[in-house]
Amino acid sequence: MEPYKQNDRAVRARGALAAKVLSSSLLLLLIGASYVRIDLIAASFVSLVLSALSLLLNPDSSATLQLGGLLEYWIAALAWLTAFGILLFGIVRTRAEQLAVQGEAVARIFSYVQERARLMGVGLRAILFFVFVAATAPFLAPWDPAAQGTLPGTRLLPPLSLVSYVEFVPTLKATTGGAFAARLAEVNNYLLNRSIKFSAIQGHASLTVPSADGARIVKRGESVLFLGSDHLGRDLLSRIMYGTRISLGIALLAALSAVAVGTGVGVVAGIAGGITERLLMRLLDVLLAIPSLFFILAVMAFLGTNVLVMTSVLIALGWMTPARIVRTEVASLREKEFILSARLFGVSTPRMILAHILPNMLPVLLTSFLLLFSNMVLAEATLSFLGLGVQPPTPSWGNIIGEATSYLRIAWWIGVFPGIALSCLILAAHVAVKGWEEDYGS
Amino acid sequence: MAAQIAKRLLVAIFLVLGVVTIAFALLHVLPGDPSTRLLSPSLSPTALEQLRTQYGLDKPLHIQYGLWLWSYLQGDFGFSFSQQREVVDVLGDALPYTILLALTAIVIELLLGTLLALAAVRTENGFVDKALSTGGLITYTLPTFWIAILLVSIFSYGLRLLPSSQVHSIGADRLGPFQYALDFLGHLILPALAIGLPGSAGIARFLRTNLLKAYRQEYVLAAQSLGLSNSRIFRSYAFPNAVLPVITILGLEFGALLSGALVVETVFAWPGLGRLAVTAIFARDYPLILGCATVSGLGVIGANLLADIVASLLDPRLHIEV
Repeated sequence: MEPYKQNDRAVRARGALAAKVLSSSLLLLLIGASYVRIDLIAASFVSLVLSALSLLLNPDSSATLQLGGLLEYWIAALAWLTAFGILLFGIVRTRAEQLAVQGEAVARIFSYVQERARLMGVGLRAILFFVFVAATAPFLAPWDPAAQGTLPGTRLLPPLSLVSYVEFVPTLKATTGGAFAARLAEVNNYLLNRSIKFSAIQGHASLTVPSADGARIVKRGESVLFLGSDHLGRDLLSRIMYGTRISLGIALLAALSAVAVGTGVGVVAGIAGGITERLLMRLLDVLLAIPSLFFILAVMAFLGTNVLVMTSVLIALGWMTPARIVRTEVASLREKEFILSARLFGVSTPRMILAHILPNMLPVLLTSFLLLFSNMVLAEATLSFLGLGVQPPTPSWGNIIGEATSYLRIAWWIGVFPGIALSCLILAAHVAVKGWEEDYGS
Repeated sequence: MAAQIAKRLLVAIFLVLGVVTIAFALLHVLPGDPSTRLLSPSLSPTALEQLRTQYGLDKPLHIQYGLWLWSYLQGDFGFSFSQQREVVDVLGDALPYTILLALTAIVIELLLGTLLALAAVRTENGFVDKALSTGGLITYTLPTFWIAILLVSIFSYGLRLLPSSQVHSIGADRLGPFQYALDFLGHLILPALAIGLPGSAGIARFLRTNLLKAYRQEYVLAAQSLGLSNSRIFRSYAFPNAVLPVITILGLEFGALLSGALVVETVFAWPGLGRLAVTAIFARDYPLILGCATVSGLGVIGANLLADIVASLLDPRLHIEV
């Protein structure tokens, strides 16, 4: 398989330049974001490093760490570092590609990695971007997604509204232990207990900080609500960013499990053949003929509306398509010569499946995973939109749009922006499938 | 061919049995007593016991299943306690609205899809073709409920052209018959567009591929060498061959159409099956939920069957695979 045609060196050069420009501008954006949110990011890194150190030095101290609340900041910090690494690599490797033409060994390795990355295409990169947003939502989101501002002045503010804000943390009681422990306690206090208040009225006079428990003001200033606020006075951009977690998390979990189940059934049917195969395939036909949304709704009505039930129902109704694809693929593979010769050599069936059949199905599995993933994103959003999926106040793109339907006449932005995010994610999955199929010519 | 259709019918009957069985299983496999689901939760214990005997809920499972099957096949779906009517009557009121919405959406899909496919084929690999293909991919992936919301925002609240919800305007019953129909049509356009737009993008893409394939066939070359006009070749050779598979696709996509209708009906307060199902769920009206699911299942199976039969009638070469 020769991925490049011989005569499109100009296209390649243009592509390399575009990649370099994109990587550099994204890197600049990341540096800019790091500068703007330096307090939070620095605190997260300090918390991560100091917590790790204190765990190493004194393993018993794990009980004192508030793991639940801090974990998301640690993950965000790690994802932030990873993004820096990937973008730097993106700039370096375009340089490496030029060297690869001269045939240097190191450059060849770079070039190989780049080739893998190129195969992923625009679609998978876009999905990676959404994963990045989900992981670093605490850094990227300008506000707490549940912060309501000073109601009622902050309800239904249109996009690009100016607001004043004040950020504060409760003052910490004196901690025991050395300077090291005090530093860690202070940082964790900031990460866990920081609160924000904002007001649509210009100037800071209107913003007061609860003085009873001795709050310490971290920052005061003016800011912009880029996408406006919703009917409860919450920042829409932050809610969309936090909503990415729900959409991606549920869809990834459901699609992965459904592909796993489907692969199992498909491989069993394909290897067994005969009556087992026919029975399983007939069962699949019946299950596929059922209009899924109505039955998802019926099942959720019986089992109750929560995230766990929704994910299980999505898995239960999603595994059929991959099962059918895998069955067809196995049926065609088992006639191939390398499988026959492996059988002649006395390779056992489990080893046959793991070592010979599954690796040869990876492209097919990836395609059906991506298609299923986009269906799952859509299904989760639809259910949440109808009020049967993720329940408020947890933000999910679907339930934000669902809440927006009551305010369409006066506040178009609440429904439009999460829909754009949703469409972009689904489109990214489809584009990835398209690119992948073109590369493999299937 | 009659044998094939009979075979297809047999499969359809099995599918119907499957759907009814799943509805039964939902009631019995899941935890809790079916009687509390089938009957109103506010009944007194003695009345509950009486009704349990009346509905046969005290009998063994296989007899219950037989009774269930028998009553379902007779069209007796039980009593809806949120609406205080027979489920069949409630469904009968809602079904025409959903059918009308679905049919309008199909007409839009076919018309718009064909037009777009023709435009794309005319300008093959040109700018229009590429723009249509990109735009089509984007439209195809847009969530139906979001399209519905965009349409309402733009055409109802922004431009104030079309109504945003319900079937009739307030006071429509005092209008003349022509204006009444016009008012109804105005209410129908936006929901039907919301369902039809993504569908038409799919049809356009499919039909474009088929048309291009048909133009590469030898019979088209033969017709060209006989000196037939371009429009004649299109009318008699390329288009009929390209459009046939679209009918099968329409049948297969009917389930997606119903799912779309479910969401769109909720946005537009359209009194069809989908909105009924959602309200039934929030009212915990289990007989009505199962009735909605079963009827939609029957609809999808029926649509598949119909599409297969129509396609095989139009094209005798088509062998139905069972």
